[in-house]
Order: sequence, then C-alpha cells, then structure tokens
Amino acid sequence: MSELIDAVTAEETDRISRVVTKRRFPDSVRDFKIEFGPYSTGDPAVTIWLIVDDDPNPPNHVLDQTTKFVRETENDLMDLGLRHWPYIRFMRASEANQYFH
Amino acid sequence: MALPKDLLDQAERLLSHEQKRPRQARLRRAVSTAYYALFHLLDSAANRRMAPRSPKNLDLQMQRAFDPGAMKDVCKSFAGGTLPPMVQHLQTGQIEPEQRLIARTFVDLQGKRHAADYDLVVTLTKQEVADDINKVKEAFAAWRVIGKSPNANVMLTALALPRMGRWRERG
Repeated sequence: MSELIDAVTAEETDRISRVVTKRRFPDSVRDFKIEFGPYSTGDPAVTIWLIVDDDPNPPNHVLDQTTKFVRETENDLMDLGLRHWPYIRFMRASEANQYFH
Repeated sequence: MALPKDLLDQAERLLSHEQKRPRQARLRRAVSTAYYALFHLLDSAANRRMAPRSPKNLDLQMQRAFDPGAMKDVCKSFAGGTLPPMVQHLQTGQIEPEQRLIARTFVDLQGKRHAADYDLVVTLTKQEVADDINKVKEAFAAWRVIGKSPNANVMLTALALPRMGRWRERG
C-alpha cells in the first residue's frame, strides 16, 4: 500500500514540477521545493516552496512579477486536480539550506 | 461592507508601514487581517440576505455562527469544481470563474492565516504577504462582479448552511 502511495506522490510531484517550471521565475526566485504533508492547519496539503533571495524589501516590479507568476501557476495547479490542496509559499534561501538539509 | 474593506485597507497599511525591513509581527498581522477581510465580506453578505432584521442583533448573533472549517470545505468544493448534486442543480451553468477565485482565495488565506499565527518555523517574506493581500483584493473585485447574482446566493447559502450539501473533500 505504501508503495502505491509513494508512486502516486512521485507522479504528482512530477506533474507539479512541470507546472512550476513552465514559466520564467520572478527575478528573486532561485529554486523551488515540493513538500507533501499536513499543512499548519493539519489538513493534507502539498506546499510548493519558492526559494527566494534574502532581500527583505524587493522592488515593486519583483512583487508584480511574483503576483503574476503565482496566480498563473495556482490556476494550473488547480487544473491538475491534485489529491492535496496546493499552497505556494516563499522561503528565504538562507533558511531553505537548513530546512531542506 | 465597511468592516471588510477597512480590514483590507489595514492589511495594506501593515505591509507598507515599514518599507525597508518589515517586522515579522506586522507581516503576520497583515496576513491574518487580509483573511478576515475576506471572511467578513462573505459572512456579512450572507447575513444581509438571510438574517431577519428583528429582533435587534439577531443578525449579528447569526453571523457569529459561521463555521470557518465548514466554510473551508464548501470553498474547496467550489474551487475544485466538485459541487455535490444537490447544490450543483441550483447553479446557473457551471461554477463561474469569480466563484472559483473567491473560493480558492478563502481556502488559501485561511491556511496562510493559520500558518502566520502559529507556525514560526519559516520567516514570512514581504513578497508572500504582498501576494496574499493582492489575492484578497482580487477576490473583492470578483465579488463586485458576481455578488448580486443567483450563483452568489447559492454560494453564500452553502457557506452559511453547509449541511445543504455533502461536500466531497479533495485535500
């Protein structure tokens, strides 16, 4: 049973990756990570972490790029009909090095 | 409409107040405030349509009875296009894009609100909070488009009385 779940998760990871990399990242985004597991609320979820520069105050054009990228990617993620609710979150590069160590 | 709009304005002010290095407390309050702006946009709209005007304050008492968890399940169903038959047949046509956007934003921001208030593991970024506030602004704009339609009435009634359907949870 767990092998089946792993296979489904791997397949969903692949589909999510294709959606996330379909567009050019905003200037501040360096990478992304996909994390399956309960969200802060306890609900099953898949979190797509966008790994961003540590800049605490990105310029407005980056914020605009980000909104466009996130919205279009979210639309595509919803169309995938995933088993888990997709959240797009942001994580500073310095924290990601520890979090995904 | 005054409270929801005021909350959204306050979320924006919290974000813009510290331009150079926004503090976590402000960023986290901004996310929470943006979520409640949307929450109260929907529960007050439902209340205006459904609650009796007398006795005084019955409508406000009814507004307290909205269940955020059940509202999330309803919104997941609208966002994912998986309405139960007993609700689907009330809709005029397919679920409208504006309904989906509002529903998706509700689920998303409810989760983000919870993380902002309780999950301190990851530092919130200005980028993420700015995007969250933009989402709520877009949901408000979508509500201005469909808020008076029969389909909006279906959605509001489902949010207020979630037992009118068996909501198929997806995630």
